[in-house]
Amino acid sequence: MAEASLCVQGIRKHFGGVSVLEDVSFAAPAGGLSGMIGPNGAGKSTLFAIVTGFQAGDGGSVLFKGQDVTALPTVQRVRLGMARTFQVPREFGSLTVRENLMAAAPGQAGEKLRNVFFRPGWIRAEEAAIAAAAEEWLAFLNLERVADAPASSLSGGQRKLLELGRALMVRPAMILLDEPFAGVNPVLVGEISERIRELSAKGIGFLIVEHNLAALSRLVDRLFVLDRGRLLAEGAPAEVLADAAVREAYMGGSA
Amino acid sequence: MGFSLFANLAFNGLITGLVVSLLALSITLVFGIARFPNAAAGDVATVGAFAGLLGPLAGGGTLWIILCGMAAGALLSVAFYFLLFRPLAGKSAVSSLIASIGMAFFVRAALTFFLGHDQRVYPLPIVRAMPVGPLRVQPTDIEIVVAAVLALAAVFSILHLTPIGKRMRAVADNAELARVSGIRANRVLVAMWLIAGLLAGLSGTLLGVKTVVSPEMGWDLLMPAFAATILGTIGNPVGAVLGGVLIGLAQELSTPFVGFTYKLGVGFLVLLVTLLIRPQGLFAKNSLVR
Repeated sequence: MAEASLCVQGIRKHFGGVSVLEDVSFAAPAGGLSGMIGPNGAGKSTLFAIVTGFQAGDGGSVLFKGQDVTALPTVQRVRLGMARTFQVPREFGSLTVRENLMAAAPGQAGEKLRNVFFRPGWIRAEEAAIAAAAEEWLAFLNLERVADAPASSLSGGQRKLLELGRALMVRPAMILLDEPFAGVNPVLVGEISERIRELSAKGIGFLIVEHNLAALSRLVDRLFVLDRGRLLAEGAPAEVLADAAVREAYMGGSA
Repeated sequence: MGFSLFANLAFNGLITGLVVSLLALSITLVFGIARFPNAAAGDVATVGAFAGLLGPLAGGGTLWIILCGMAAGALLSVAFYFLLFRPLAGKSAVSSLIASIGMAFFVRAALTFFLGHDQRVYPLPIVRAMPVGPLRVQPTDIEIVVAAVLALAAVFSILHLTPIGKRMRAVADNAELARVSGIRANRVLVAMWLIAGLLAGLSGTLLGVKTVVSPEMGWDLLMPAFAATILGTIGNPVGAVLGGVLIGLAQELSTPFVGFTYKLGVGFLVLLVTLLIRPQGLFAKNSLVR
């Protein structure tokens, strides 16, 4: 197995007296395609929130590219190359699609107001590079036609692609996808899967939380199963799905 | 009450309206990005107007008055951010609002304590008004219009043509999404408070150029500016500017009917009618804040 890009160790979380995550540990390889499944209420969303820095865990640590990021805020984790998307796509609705991508680029110079006035040359060079990157991802995601439309006018599927595009603009080492196939028609599921494969071939790692088991197991090479706050199983999709405990937790509910 | 009276009132209304617009734009930027109504904006304008009194020490003319006022407004505004609004950022908008009201009172009391209640005027030469058609135009009127229009153009260029402006609009649109897109909120906020302070300082000095400088001037300007912000849809920069001009016109054009004393009340009336009929403001569709 390749070197781990994201390494989660002994994460615990409880809300009041209810324990949501109990000692969850797993490692997602750099450049690999990992999936995470689990019934509703298994703790997937909470785990995602802790990994990305939206919530603090009650214990355990998150390592990203060998660095302990447990105490870092979301912005810092993003800057290290950890991007994420949302289950319900979010966009800067009043900005155009292109501006949505450009705003997400980790600019060095353009972020400071004084540079706008005192270092215009530097800013122009940086903006040109960012615009070129945005153009490249717009073409890759087939969003060129709507590049100058306000993001609020996009269809549901296009919003999913825009989410991916925004994540790509931060030059990620790993992208965490929260249900990328939810509410997406089968044709687009195929297209999004294809894009994810191509990106993975370029060395970007993925951790995908998804309810669409069929699409997910075709896509990923490693599957983690979360159930009632514990890691129930992990391995190649075929083995994991054949596991009796997994079948019971996932298909049979409490049976 | 002939045509020339109303033409002059409208021209005056436009000038007052531009002054209101600058403060309304300052308020709407803060609301769009930091998400609270900044009641201290008016008193930042007052401080700017008083700082403008130092202008003649630096050089002659309206330009230095304006530059001193803008610098003071920007300094105070950024200081407020670091001292007050950044520590309060995680709390509810109400705590920031109350802090800004407290800061407004504090600033006004400090100004009155050290400088007294007296009205002051900028040492500008008194010039006879030029007749332009039916209008009587003071040279300072032209300076006010030019300064306001240049400032508005600069702010809109920053918002729409620069990378930091794009990020400001992104944070205003969806702050949480901005965070996961790697946008450093801190830098956006410093830039925003700086611009808000420059605008408030400018609006204070221009009001001082038009009328007089007094410790209450900013507070009196705050009410029409809030009305303009709401009329033009809170968080919408274009709306704030147009709202300001509309309020200025309404205030001046109403003076023959309600008298000079009550023209401030017209601002409230516009605010009240807006809230009753169209609480989302005139420009709700294409706003900075969704």
